[in-house]
Parts: sequence; C-alpha cells; structure tokens
Amino acid sequence: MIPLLRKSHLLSTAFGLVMVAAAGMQTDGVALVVAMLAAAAVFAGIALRVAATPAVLLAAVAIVITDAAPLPAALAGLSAACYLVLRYTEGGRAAVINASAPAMLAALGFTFVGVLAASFPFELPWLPLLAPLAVFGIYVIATRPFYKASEGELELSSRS
Amino acid sequence: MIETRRTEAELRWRASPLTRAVATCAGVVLAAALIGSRWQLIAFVAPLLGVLCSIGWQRSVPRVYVHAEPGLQRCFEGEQTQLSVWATAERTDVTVALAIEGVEGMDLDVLADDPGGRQTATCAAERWGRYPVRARVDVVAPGGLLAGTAIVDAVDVFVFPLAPPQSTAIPKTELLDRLGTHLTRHIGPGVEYADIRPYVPGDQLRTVNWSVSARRGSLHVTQRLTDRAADVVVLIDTYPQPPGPATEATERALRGAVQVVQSALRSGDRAGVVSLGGGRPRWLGADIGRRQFYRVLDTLLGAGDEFETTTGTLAPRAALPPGAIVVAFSTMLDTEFALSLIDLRKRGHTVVAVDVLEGAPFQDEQDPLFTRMWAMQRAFMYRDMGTVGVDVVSWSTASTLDQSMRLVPERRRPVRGRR
Repeated sequence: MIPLLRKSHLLSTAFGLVMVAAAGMQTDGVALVVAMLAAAAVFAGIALRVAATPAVLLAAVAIVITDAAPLPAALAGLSAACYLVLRYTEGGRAAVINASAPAMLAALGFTFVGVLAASFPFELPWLPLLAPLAVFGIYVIATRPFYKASEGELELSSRS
Repeated sequence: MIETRRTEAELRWRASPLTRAVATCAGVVLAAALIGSRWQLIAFVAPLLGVLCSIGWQRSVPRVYVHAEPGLQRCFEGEQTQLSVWATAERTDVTVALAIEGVEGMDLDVLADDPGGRQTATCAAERWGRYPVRARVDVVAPGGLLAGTAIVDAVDVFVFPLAPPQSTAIPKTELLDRLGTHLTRHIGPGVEYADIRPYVPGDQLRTVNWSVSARRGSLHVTQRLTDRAADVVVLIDTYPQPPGPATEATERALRGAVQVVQSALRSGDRAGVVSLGGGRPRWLGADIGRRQFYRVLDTLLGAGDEFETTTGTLAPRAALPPGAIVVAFSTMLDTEFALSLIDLRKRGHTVVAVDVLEGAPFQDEQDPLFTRMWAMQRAFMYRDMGTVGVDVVSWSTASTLDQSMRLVPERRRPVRGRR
C-alpha cells in the first residue's frame, strides 16, 4: 500500500492541482482551456516528472490570459514551487523530503516580497527602462551559485 | 576474514534536474512578465526564485563512501569471482545511486541489485593484470538542488597468470648443502648408488654392504649420491618497453616467471622474486611452500603488502641468498636491467636470462636488411653477455619454456663471488 502511495505522488499532485485552481479561478473561454491543459499536465507528471515543467508554464499562461490579481498569482506561484520541489524529492525516504524544508520556507518568504512588489503602485516614467535590467540581475544572482558549484568553487561541505 | 574497502567519493557537483526545472520556469515566466508588462507574474515567480536562493540555507553535503567486499580480489585467468559493492552516506537525507562497470578486457555481470543499493557482480578476465572495478555514484544533495557524480575505483581485481605445468630445468651449478630433490655428484645421504669403500669407524651400520664385505673379508660400505636443494630467484623486467612487439612480449615474461617459480616450489626448492624497473623494485625473499607461490604472484602484480620495496636499479642483496640461481625474464632492451644482471653475476650467482622478445621490436614492417642487422646486434649482445657469465636463451612462442631452458649452456666452474 505504501509503495503505491509513494508512486502516486499524492502530496505533489495535490499542490499541482492547487496551483491550477489558483491560476484558473473564475475563468472562462481560452483561460479555462489552458487551465484544463495544465491540470492534464499535472496528472501526466505523476508518471513523468518532466511534465511538471509544462504544467507550471501553462498555469503562468492562464494567469497572463486572465490578468489575475497579484494574490491569486502568488498563491499559484507558491503552489508551483512546492509542486516542483516535492515532485522531484518525493518517493524517497522521509529524511529526504524533510531536507527540502529550507526550500519551502524560502519560497514562502519570497512570496510575501513578491506580493508586495507586484501590488505596489509604481507610477514612475523610467520604470520600463530599469525593470529588464533589474529582473535580469535578480535571475543571474539566483542562478549564480549553481554555476559556481559546477566549477567546484562553491563551498558545500563546510556549510552547517 | 574478508576485508571490505571503503573509498570516499570525490563528488563533482552540478545543478540537479529540479534546479533546472525551477530555473526554466522562472526564466520563462520572468521574460513573459517583462514582455507583456504583467506585473502579477512577479508574484508568481517570486517563490520559484526563493527555491533557487535557498541553496545558501540548505544543509551541508554529507560525505559519501563506496564500500566493496572484498576490497581486493584475486583470481586466475578465466576464473570467475564474485564481489559486491554498495554506497553509503554519512546521513540519510540524500539519495545515493550506484552503478558499477568493468574496464576493458574484463567481463562484469551484475547479478543482483538489492533495494538497499548493494550490487553483486561476477567478473572474469582472460589476461593477467590488475583490473579496477569502477563504481559510478550519483548523489542528490539535501534539498534536491544539487546533483553530484563521482567515479570511484571500488575494487581491484588481480588476475594472476596461469602457467603451463611442465617443470623447467635449473642450470647446473654448485648447490648448497641442503637436502632437496636435485641429484648432485656429491656423496652423502641419498638413494642413487655412487661407490663402495672400506668401512671406517663412525660409519652407520645400515650402510654396510654385506655381500661385498663377505666376498672381501672386511667390512665395506655403500656410498650414495646426495640430493640437494636450490634457491631460485626470478628476476623480472618491469621497465617501460617501446610500443609494439616488446610490450606484447612482457605478457609472456610474467607467465614464464610464474612457471619457473611453480616448478621450483614443486621440487621443494626455495623460490623468491625481484621485479626491477620503474625506480621502485619489489622483492620477496626466497621461501618454500604453497603459500610462497601466492606471495610471489602478489609481488609480481603488486597486490597486497607481503612484499618489500626498495629504490635503485640493482637487485637488493637481501633478496638473493648466497648461491641462489637467478632466472631473469626480460626483453633485453634496457641497459639498466642488463647491468643489474652483470652485477648479480659478479656477486657469484648463476644467472640465466630468458629473452622473451621475438624478432625485432619494430611495430611496422621494415626493410629486411634492417631486421637482419637487428638480429646480428642481438647475437653480439648474447655473446657479450655470455662472456661476462650471463647466459641468454631466447624463448620464442613456438616452443615452451622448459624446452628453451634446456638450451642453457653448461658451465664447468662456478665464478667465485667477489666480496
């Protein structure tokens, strides 16, 4: 029974469906179709974990189409982060899943920052000029440790 | 007791599939947010970036060890042996996957793959040598953001050469006064009849030849030839050889060495081994018995720790008991090896060098004149070495070693050792 539960990835699938629900709330037309596709991708992700990436991207498309408010978008994003992390770490021992707790907490903390940033009424004329640079910079800073790790420069074992 | 070997895996880290998926999603959604000016997507992408940034707060990566049982496996050519390999981590919050593979020339079949990660495999090789079994370890770090890979030499499988069963003759020389199986012309305890002489007080009564005594009227005793034992030390050339026939010939060198040791130990002689070359000679003192045979094999392949190592290019004195017979296997291309043979001859040993190189050591087809000049040079070298006292016999693939070693010329008098 327990191996079957592990194989069905209950927790990650639940987070994936929450993500789809948050993205496709009160929608109709094209957005509903996209949300349905995302749900289908979540179910496909039970068998094939690569399908989790298109599921998250389809949820983002649904948000773009409906032009949702920041709060449901943040909920969908948080669910998406939990969905991806759990989908990739689930299936092992309990200790392996417990070790992904820092990632979940970081996701929760960043959600608040994201909601604040998205709902702040910026009315600056030079914002479109600065935004691409800022976004690119944030992305580079977030992915930089992984490049350092592949070059062997990241200190991995001395961390507590 | 079967000892296990533990090797720490030196992992090379890279982004895991999870990191790649999260980074792809975050990148695409950020680009969409910029292009479409949809600022609520920033709220959507923020948790994903949070997952990426959490690498700084993740738990440290534990050490990963690869275990093997046995840590050092010995077998003969064509023989199948079993070994098992598994990997463990210091803590349980990482997933470790293990795959084992053999090197070229070795057949490795994975028999069982336990859920605990313990892999059992059988391996066999057709040619002697040292075969490492490589284990590939895939580790996902705690939190799943980093994936590490390492390739570890988990087990060393030493495959020993099989020697033909024929006994090789030892060169005629003055043997030490120790009971053995080699018939000598010396008179003493033995079986073979030598002579009859008059009785002197002190002779054992059982040696009295009663029929002769009755005919002659006084007591006579039978004298017998004695059997003596030899010390055989095999010297093997492990200097780097030029590519081509010379490198291929070294395979037969070890086979021949094993055959000489095997036949010496069978006839109750003491056998030892010295492997010269590479600046670190390995040697094993002469001894008798079945165990010594396996110790010699270990020394030849550098397995285990029963042998001793020294430095320099000459055979160490401790390795050669006085009066030992030295049988050297070499391609006779290295000057330093030839010098060490001459040094042994100067120390008073009977030295026989077996030339394992067949023909010219050139890889591609050469002018016939070239080959003939090479053959003449070799003949000169054989003669020069013979003059110094080192007999060189050629061992071709067409004949067996015992046939070739019968061609060792008989020397009339032993060279006195210089002290």
